[in-house]
Amino acid sequence: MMNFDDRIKEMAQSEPACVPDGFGRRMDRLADSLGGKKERRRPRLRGAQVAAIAVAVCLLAGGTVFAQANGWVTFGWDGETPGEISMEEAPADANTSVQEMRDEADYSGLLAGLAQNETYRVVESNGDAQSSGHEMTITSPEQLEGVLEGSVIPYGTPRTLPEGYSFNRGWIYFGLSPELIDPDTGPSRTEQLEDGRVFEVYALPDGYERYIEYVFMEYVDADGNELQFVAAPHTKDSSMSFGASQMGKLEQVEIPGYSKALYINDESGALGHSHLLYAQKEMDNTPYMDIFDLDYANTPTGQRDKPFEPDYYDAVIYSLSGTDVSKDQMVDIMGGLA
Amino acid sequence: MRQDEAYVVYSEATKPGSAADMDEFFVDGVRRIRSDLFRVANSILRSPADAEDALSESIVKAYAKRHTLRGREKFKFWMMKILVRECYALRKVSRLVVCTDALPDTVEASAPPARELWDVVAGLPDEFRVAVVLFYYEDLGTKDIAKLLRVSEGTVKSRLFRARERLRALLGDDGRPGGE
Repeated sequence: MMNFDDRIKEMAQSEPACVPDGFGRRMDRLADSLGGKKERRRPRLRGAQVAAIAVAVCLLAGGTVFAQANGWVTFGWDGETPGEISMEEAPADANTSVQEMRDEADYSGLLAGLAQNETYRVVESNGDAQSSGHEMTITSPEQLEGVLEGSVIPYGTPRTLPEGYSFNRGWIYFGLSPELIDPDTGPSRTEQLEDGRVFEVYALPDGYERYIEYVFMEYVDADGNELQFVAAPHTKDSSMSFGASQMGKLEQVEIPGYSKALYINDESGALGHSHLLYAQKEMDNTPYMDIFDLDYANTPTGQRDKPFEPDYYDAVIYSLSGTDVSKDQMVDIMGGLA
Repeated sequence: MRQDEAYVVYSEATKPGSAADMDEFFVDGVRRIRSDLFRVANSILRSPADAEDALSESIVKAYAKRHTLRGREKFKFWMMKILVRECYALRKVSRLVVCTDALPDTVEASAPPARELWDVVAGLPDEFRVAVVLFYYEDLGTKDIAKLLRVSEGTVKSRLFRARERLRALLGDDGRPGGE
């Protein structure tokens, strides 16, 4: 008699994978193209496939977008490329996941007793182990500037703020992941907190602090209104999509020094903030630690068995978002990043 | 087993060959397992569009690294490893983009309708769903799943144990959808 696992396996393995229409054709085209394809630099942020979903929505160029009621729209830098759309209500948790990336765990207990001359990465292993970053809390703009001096990516930070706003909190993430860790050795420590979450602690290699993949800064005014700033590396030719409720208004804006910029005004609350400004600034092609390459270039003991091949970025994506701030104010801040 | 069938095909071509042989092996291999890879990607990203994107990127990346494949019989696991990294990278980066993680379910509904078991599996929490797909659909052992997900084997066992309890509650002891 089959046990439960065997029955489920039998069902699972007799069930064909459900793939989207045209999947095989697109994969065949990709496979056929491989012979002449040169190495890619970086995964795209979002797929070209987003446009493949039929969209019955009117996107008006250069101005306001009002689509069908109660939906969710995604679009590219030009504000016109239709992406996925839902006729459902925009999800309640549809705001950017900046907050989700902040793990509020107190790591001090997890790190107690470990070697003082090492830096450790803490991974929540019963959640999403792969997406937890190694973070550093920023306590002042001056501290951030000091940290960024060693960064291979030339991030700018806000130098001018709307009147009444001042630094509230910030953090950065380093471009590391468990791929750097020998999977057979495992973590230096595993701890389960009282709330049931399990954390694994890994020692980090030298030089990790040069590879900053994410900067977050938050400013507030006396009334508690937030102004949030995010920066991350990018490749300028990569596709990128944004989203808003169908109440959202889009506007392409020109900011000196930036190759692309898009302003979103969405009062629906679905984005968390009603004013958002995204901008892309191009930079020299910059080699960056490719955490995924390391997985294949390194032996389990960390000794490279072939030369390390870095990845490359040639742009930085910045975003500003707030509620009690105007488009012009955000454009001024973005234009003054240094 | 389905997975072994793929391996049998690959092991016929295990002899060291020319670059052209490797190219042909790679392309044929991807064709054979692409649906399985897509399912794994979709279990992580919960978006057919993102899953296909991650798979495309993984194929390109794997092709560029095909000379690093040690043992053609390991092709599927090797591809899956690259794909899983790609999916988690995409998911992490996509969090910088408004709402890509939280697209409404109707986007997924534009894909072909899922089968009954998949309906149940797709509704599991993230950490259970991925482990379930790798264990039940891809027939991987807990050690291999741990390597793919970069967690300890104990963590995988724990996730599977908890997932199994949920599946049992949803499917019944006989494993049939609709059972209580």
